Amino acid sequence: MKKILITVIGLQLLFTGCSESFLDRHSLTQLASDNFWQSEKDALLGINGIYDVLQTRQLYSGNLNGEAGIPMYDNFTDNSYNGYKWEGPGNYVEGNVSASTTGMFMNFWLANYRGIVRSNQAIANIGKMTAEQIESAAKDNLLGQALFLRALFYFNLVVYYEDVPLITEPQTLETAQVAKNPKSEVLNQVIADLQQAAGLLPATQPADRFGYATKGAAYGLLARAFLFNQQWDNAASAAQQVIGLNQYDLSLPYATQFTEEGEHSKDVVFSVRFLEAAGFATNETFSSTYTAQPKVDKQPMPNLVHDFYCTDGKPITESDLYHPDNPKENRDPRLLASVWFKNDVFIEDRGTVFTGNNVTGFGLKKYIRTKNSALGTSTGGVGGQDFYVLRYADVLLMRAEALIEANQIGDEVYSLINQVRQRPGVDMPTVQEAEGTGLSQPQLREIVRHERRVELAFEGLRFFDLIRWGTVGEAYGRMVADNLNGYNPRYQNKRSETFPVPLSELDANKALVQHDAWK
Amino acid sequence: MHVFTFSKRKLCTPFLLLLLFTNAVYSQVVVRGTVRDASDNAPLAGVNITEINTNNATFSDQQGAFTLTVNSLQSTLRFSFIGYQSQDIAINGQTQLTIALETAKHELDEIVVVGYGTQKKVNLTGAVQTLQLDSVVNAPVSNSAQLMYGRFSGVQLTQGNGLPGTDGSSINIRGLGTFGNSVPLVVIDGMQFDGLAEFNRLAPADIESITVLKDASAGAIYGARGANGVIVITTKQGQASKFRVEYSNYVGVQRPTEMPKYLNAIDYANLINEKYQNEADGKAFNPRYTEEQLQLIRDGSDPDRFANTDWAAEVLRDAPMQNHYLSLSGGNASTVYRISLGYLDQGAVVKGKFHMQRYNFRANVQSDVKDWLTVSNNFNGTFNKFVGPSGGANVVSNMMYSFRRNAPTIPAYYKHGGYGFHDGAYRNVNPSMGTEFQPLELGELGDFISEDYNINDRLSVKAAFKGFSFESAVTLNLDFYDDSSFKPSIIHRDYEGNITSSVDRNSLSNSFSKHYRIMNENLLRYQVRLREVHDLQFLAGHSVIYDRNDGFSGSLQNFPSDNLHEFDGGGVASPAVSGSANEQTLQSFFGRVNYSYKERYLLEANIRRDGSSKFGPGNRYGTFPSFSAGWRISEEPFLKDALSSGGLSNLKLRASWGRTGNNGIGNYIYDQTYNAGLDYVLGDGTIVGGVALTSLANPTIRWETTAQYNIGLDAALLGNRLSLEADYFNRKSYDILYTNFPIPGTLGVNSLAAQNAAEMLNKGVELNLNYSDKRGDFGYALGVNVTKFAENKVTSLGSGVQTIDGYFLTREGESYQAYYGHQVMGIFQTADEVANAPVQFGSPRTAPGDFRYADLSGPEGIPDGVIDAFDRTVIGNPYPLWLFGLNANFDYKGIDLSVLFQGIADADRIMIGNGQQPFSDERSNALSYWIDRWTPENPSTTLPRIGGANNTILSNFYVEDASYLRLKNIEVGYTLPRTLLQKIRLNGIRLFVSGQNLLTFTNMKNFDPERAANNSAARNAPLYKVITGGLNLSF
Repeated sequence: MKKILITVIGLQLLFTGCSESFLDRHSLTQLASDNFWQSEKDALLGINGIYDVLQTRQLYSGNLNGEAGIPMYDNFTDNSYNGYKWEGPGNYVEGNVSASTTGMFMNFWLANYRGIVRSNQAIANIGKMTAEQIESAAKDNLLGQALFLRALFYFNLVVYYEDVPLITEPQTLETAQVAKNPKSEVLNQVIADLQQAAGLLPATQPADRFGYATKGAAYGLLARAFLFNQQWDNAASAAQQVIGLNQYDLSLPYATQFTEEGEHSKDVVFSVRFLEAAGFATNETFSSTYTAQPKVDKQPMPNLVHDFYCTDGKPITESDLYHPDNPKENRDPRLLASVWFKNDVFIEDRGTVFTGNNVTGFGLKKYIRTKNSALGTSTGGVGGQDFYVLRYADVLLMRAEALIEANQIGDEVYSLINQVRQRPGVDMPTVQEAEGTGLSQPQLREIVRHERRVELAFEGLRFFDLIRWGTVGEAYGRMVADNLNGYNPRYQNKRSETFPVPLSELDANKALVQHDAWK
Repeated sequence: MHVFTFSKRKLCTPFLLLLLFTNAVYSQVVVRGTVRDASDNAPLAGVNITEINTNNATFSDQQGAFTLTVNSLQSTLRFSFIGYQSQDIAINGQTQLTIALETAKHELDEIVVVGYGTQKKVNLTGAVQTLQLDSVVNAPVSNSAQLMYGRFSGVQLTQGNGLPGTDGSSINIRGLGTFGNSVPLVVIDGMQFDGLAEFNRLAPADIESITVLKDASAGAIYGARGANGVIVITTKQGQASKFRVEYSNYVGVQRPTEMPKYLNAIDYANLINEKYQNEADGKAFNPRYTEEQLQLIRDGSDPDRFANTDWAAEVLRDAPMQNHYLSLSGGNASTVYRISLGYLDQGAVVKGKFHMQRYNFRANVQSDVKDWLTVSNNFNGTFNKFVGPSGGANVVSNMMYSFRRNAPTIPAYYKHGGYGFHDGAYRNVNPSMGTEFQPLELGELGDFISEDYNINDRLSVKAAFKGFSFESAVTLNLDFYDDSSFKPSIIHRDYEGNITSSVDRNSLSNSFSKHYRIMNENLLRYQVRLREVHDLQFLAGHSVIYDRNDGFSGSLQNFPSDNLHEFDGGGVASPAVSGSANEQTLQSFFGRVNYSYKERYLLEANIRRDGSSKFGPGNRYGTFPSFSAGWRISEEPFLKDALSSGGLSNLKLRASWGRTGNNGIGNYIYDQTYNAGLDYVLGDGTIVGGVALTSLANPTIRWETTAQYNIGLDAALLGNRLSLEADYFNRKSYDILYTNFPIPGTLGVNSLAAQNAAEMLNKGVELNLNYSDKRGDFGYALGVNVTKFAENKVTSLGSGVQTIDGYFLTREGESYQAYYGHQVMGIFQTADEVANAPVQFGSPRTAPGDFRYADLSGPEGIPDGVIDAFDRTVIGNPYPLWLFGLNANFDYKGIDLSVLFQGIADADRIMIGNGQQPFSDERSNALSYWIDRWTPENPSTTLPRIGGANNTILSNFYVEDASYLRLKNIEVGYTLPRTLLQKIRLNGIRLFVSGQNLLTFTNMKNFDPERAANNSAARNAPLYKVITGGLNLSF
């Protein structure tokens, strides 16, 4: 009897768990994809997923001791010297990079496409959402975000790689082997996306969504794209759209703008948001510095420092106010807000003095932290400084430049530049006072280009400006003339103005071909 | 269990009395004697003693003594006892007998553990190899799997790390058959484990046997988890009526097997200046060290600013190790038990707080509660505690990195007592870099405690009647990890005491993880013999497994004191939490049939059907069959005499074919999900969640499959003194998950779910030879095993294309992750040579002293006069073509010696990133041989110049021969004479001295050749050698 009993119990055990549901297991920590994109909440999460890409080191959060991101891109130019050449720009300028050995090229490419693909997902899926799932205002706003971000990523690609694959729909593995599209097509898509986004986005976001793109951000980036495409009238009117929103001004002192205090100022049209928080990957490293000398991997070059005017609005070569023995005296306050000079205390909480002990003799100050953070993190650690992708000052100068290039020269051109010069804490003489009136197109072109250089120094825009002005070669001349020890800039024409398609990408996608300059 | 034992004993005694009384009626002749174990002279209780051809019988008592009334003093007595060879002894008129029983170990009767059972070795048809560990194991291995080194053909162990707790070896059986997880399935006393951790945690002295199921016929009974081979371990059980206490220990010291040598301070300083000079191409440059500073380095007059530090020597050290082990075992005719306690204490050869302690608890009990019912329980508990500095084992790689990353000019400590961070040139215009990682500080900073609680229990009930048996077993595996890492606030100062950096806030991170697995297995067995010649065995089984992992971790900052290391210790800032969870299930049906005709013709068939939660609804179940056959030629009547006259006692041919699977892949790959772990910042600094598709799922995912055939030959010669096993195997793996699919970045996902795409082939020959003999007091045994692999080959990537993953190439026709880089043809000696050679990486800086790379190909597939990525080629083989092991044991009058050699040959390793590159960046030191670099005055033909354009790119220059032969273990012991011991009531005392990894023969310099194939930088704690001394006691 017992034997039978045991056998029966055994057979019962034999059939426990035989049901199919026992084997049907799903992720306990990830969202199922088939029922996502069903509500506004889903759409918000999806949009935040795109924004997350912006925090990639090689996009907007780098850099200290790693591959360069956009905050380091002045290192490609006459503005700053990349002490750690291996981060990318230093070797690039010396002509010592290749598609296979420089990770920066690959990671910049990958990050932008990661953002594009997430945008494509959002555009396709939010577009399909019904009125029951999402209110139309919310839908427009979020769709506008995705379009704006896609345009931003494509614009990054088209500026630095020129021809790139243009992908606007969600792909599958089977459809992923795609060839490049001409630069012009990509740029047209950027413009179309921004125009659509500008129509969909609100002029302001609620306070708890500060950081999301606005109408002004879309028009501002549109102006930048039109300028790059040399569509002057369109650029001027896109910039005017931003100005016409009456959301922006330059009331915050210039020096304060590049600290965490400046993050919510009305100069900020679009920023990538950062926060130093334990356990979250939301921090940045572009505002960090070593303590033995300021920001080794981004040192202001002498030709830039000398290019800042004296407070009389005149170059140092002409101004009586310039004293070579005390080059800080009587200089454009923006210089003093951007550059550390020898004997400046650059680590405030320790009183550490910059002894001039670096290659250029000047230290980077703009954006750079000067003391331990509120969380106790040292200046060499991660930080929470927002990076400004687009400032109002830039918008004003873009409109000025577009009007000049379109030869629509009038009082407005002067006024636009003067607004930038006369910001609190800058208070430099007006164009009329310093350079005079009735200036010619070439004269004004030089003025606005100079103004961009000193106003936007170290903000990652110089390389972009030089490329579109066609003056990269001239900048190399200034870099060589600075004659820095251990720095040998070599201008190699197009190769010094574009990035190669990363080798890993050529390996993975047989439809791609290398940029002609890099073959 | 105690209840059963007790009642059985009660029943037993009157029965014996009755027996004695009955016998007494018929005869008056009484024989007395004692029965002992021949090996250690311990008394054997419960030995069955019968007078042949009569009903007279008795058992020996607890002292091994027996009294038997026999019919005649000319009769023969038979002594039989499980686990021992039966002996027939003629009484020959004696009335007092002393009998010594030998343990049953005869080659032909050897029982081998196989999947879900045992098998007589001679009847095996598959490729199975066993290591029997009958004596106490003294080898100072802290990971028990390392007992397998050099013992098994076809099995490669690789240790890549020498830090206690992370110094386990990886194991590959018959080559690498997957791109993914190649860990064999581990079965310990019927409990199944997916990794080696539980095996490694066993106390070595608890292990009775380690069996490797190598071919598919042996492994197919484990179906979807058998493709990487199966390791079956049994632990020691008690022996009936033989109460025994064993204690053993050893104390020893560990030392790195190899110490890397880096340039000293002045050579470093000169060479780094030379680097800047070379990089400047004749233009002005800022030297790192000024002339005045070079002089200070040279004369050593200011060691606070310019020291001469050998970081490797500062960090590496000798470390102690000790082990204690106690076991109690015994039982009676129906119940046996064995309980044991182990303790291992291991320091690290790396300076700092690193230290590991392990406690092992084991209880094995088996009881025949009825003549048809057996219950048994195997319990194993381990408590493992690893302590270290903040960050735990993870900081070791930074400490190793510091050997080359830190300038030797930085002192280890300043005069003011603080750790050295900078040398006196750190404020130069071309500043010297501070230590990125101050290894001595890292080793001591803060506290890390990792506690691992591991419990494995298997409870089994087995009923048997009329050839049938039914067993139901429940297994529980529990594993808890509780980690705590505390980092104090830190201030770093330079030699003058100026603060150079600080972390103001202290912080605590705790994490807790839990793994549990519940398994139920039901096994029905039937065994029958028909007409005395046909032996049949059947096995049918069903098993279900539920497996779950959970993790939780949190961190908090700014505690009021660096001495409070708990969450409620007052931390007030930056709280953060995270977690993880996953589950998986497996349901299986399996069966086996064995047929043997007169133990001459042998057939076996296995089948298993596995259903796994890792696969989508359409692909959940897989079926894995195998067939094998054996022909014992030596049992053929017409050959038997001829063979045995030639000394050939056993000759067997084996052949097998089968399919096994590998489901050792990630969970939920079939299920498309969105990653919910992203975040962004909005508003006034609020972190918001984000979601994105970061990986593409594969709804059609299936297990990987290996089809393997095996042909083997077993022979025993020279009166069983020489045995030979030879096998040829051919493993074809297909449907291999190709996880490194090259995905265009334009797809925007971080990873692509694996596809069942690739195929790989491993084949080779294995040979095992064993010889043992005894000449008088001198006994010896020799064993040799050799494995010759054909090169591992990826035979197909399906629709996939080749993957170049850094230095590793996966391409059809090559080994998996073959080393891929440039080929160095020599070194440019003149500017003319540079001008006439292909352009090297488009660099205008190539100059005399730089490597000249071979122009092998181009975009069109032919050499194009340009050196670039197209010129890469396979420059090394990660997998050894040869494995060998050699062991020898000698004993003579109480002295014993055992030696174990182990090695691999025809294998390469990429050696880069630990100082092999000539000053690859602006701070790093290089290995000492770089003093002979190319200079115009010293036009080296082997070493390039410092600061050249492209000399640090991976090339065959950085590939080294990793062949080695190692004296893996040597042990000398002396067993005290028994006569001496009996006075102190001990059965045995053995004293021994043992060494592990004492000698290594290799071409590799500076680093140990044993290292993981795909870890090119390998900044792990170095492997260590160990010398120990200890004793084994039994009473």
